[in-house]
Amino acid sequence: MRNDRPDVCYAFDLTGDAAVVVRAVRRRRRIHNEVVWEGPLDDPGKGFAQAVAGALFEARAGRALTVAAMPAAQSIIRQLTAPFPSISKARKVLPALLDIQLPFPLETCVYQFCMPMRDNHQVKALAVVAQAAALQSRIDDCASAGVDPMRMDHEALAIWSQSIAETAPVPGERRVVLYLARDHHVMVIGRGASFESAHSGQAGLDKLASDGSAPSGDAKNSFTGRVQRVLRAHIPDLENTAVAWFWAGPGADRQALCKELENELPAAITYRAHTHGATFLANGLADRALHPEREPTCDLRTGAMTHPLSQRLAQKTARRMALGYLALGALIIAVNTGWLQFLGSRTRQAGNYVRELAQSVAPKANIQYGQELLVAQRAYEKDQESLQPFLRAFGVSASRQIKEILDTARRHGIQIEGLTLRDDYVSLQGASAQWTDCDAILEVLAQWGFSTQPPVRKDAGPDEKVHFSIEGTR
Amino acid sequence: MRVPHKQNILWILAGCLMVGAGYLCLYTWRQTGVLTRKLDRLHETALQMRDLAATAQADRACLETFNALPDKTLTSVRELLLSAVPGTAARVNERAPEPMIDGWTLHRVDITFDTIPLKAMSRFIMAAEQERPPWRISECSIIASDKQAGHGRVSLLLEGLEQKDGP
Repeated sequence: MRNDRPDVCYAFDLTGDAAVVVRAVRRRRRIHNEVVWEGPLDDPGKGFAQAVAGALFEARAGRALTVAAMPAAQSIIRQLTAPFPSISKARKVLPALLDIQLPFPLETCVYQFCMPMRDNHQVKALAVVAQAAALQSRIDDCASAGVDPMRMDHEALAIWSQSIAETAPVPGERRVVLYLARDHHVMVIGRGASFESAHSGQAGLDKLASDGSAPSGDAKNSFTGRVQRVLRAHIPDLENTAVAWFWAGPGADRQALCKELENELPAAITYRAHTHGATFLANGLADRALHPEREPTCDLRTGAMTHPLSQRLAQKTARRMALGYLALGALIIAVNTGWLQFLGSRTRQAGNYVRELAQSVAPKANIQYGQELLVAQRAYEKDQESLQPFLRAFGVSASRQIKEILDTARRHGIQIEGLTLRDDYVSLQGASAQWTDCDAILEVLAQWGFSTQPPVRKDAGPDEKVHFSIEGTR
Repeated sequence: MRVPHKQNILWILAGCLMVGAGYLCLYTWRQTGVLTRKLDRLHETALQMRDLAATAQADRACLETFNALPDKTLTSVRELLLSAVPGTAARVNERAPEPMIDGWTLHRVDITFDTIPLKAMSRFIMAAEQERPPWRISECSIIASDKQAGHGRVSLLLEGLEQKDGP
């Protein structure tokens, strides 16, 4: 069934008074990204406004999705563990498990559970939570910039997914992605391809090095100190653990700054940087929106906050699915009916053939269904009585049989004393010079289809001949 | 999310259709077994019927051969005796004729030769068989004569089919 999901996505990375807009197109499972806008929101050339208008036009036509990120600072991600192996059961208790971990009532939140999976008789799930007011505030912020995103993904999850997509994970290796935006930073920690936790802070590029120069001492110390605390909390044996560190975001493009910060961070870590730092988050958001099958998926615009266009899209998909099921049902019914018709027709044909054959044997009989063979056999047997003399007329000629018996007897010097021949019976008495001479007669009778008893022979008498008697039936 | 009324109807229809399709699948599955077994039985019956029809047709062909004869009247046995073995004494006993299919009548005649040269007997039998419609030797009993070589007492039962007035 065709997926109604659009193949185009506009991803908006709105940070402070700047924005990055990426238009991503999915073609044959590959995503092609194009940076539509990268710069200030209040661009005098109306570049951002044009980008937003283009996105809105395509979204309203149902051809594109629009997505923005919920800042990690305004939302929470929690790892939950349900103590039983059933995912469906776990789904029922996950909200309660989440509720006790939150500092505010769950009813005031929008939440999603990602990738519930079984792990050693337990179900583990990732909960993404934001207060409804915070989400509404974020939507309002976007709206004030002229953007009304259909999806609201989570910033940290998008950063993690994009990092994994750009650099394949090493199984078991710890990975730290430090996304350095202008006004904040997000630190995402995981193992292999699995997301573990996210932490955000207010120190961004603006605080660390607003002019691109080396960071100020206090800001640097505060930043690196916090990062190290988080690192130690998650990876206590940091010196003996393989950790891959990735700089990402606009800060990743500032190599000097990164180098300066790395000097204050543990030396055992391998430091690398993702490319396309400025569009990193937007690329991640677009990629996730176009690949809903890639876990952990997240869209906080659910329930009452669902975007009308998403609603329309979902309804369109549901309608198409319903139509698909209708078509499938009709197809199944057609195939079954066709098959039954075919079988019925074959059965009728076979029945008619049998009936025709029966009618040819018993032309005058009234043949009931299922009685064909019986009626035909009876008719045949009845005909046989009156046809026997005609059939016998084409049987073996008696004159030929008598002639052959007499000729054989003459050749072997056998004297025939008596012969009785009927269609099904033969009896012959005679005398021969040798004990075995009568065997020739037996062979002739066998050729004519008579089954004979062993000849009754008598020892040579006064005439010095062996007298024998043969009987046979057919 | 509010689901439109039309979409609900569509889903209900799709559900009903799928349920119907499921039931039909079950019915087809059962019916396939029934019809396949029936087809197998019919196939077996058809094979037997074909053999029976072929045999019946071959049998009817024998009758048709007789029906196709231009002259369907049997030659009298006495005439045959006169022409094939003139001067040979024989006792002739005609049994009651039996009506057969298509207006044919089966005639049976007992002939007894107290003494006859066996060669003459062969001549008579061949002459009788070459007639159209033919006389057929149904039974033959020969007892060799002690007194004359090549002679014997012969009893024959001849049967012949005749149609006088057509079917």
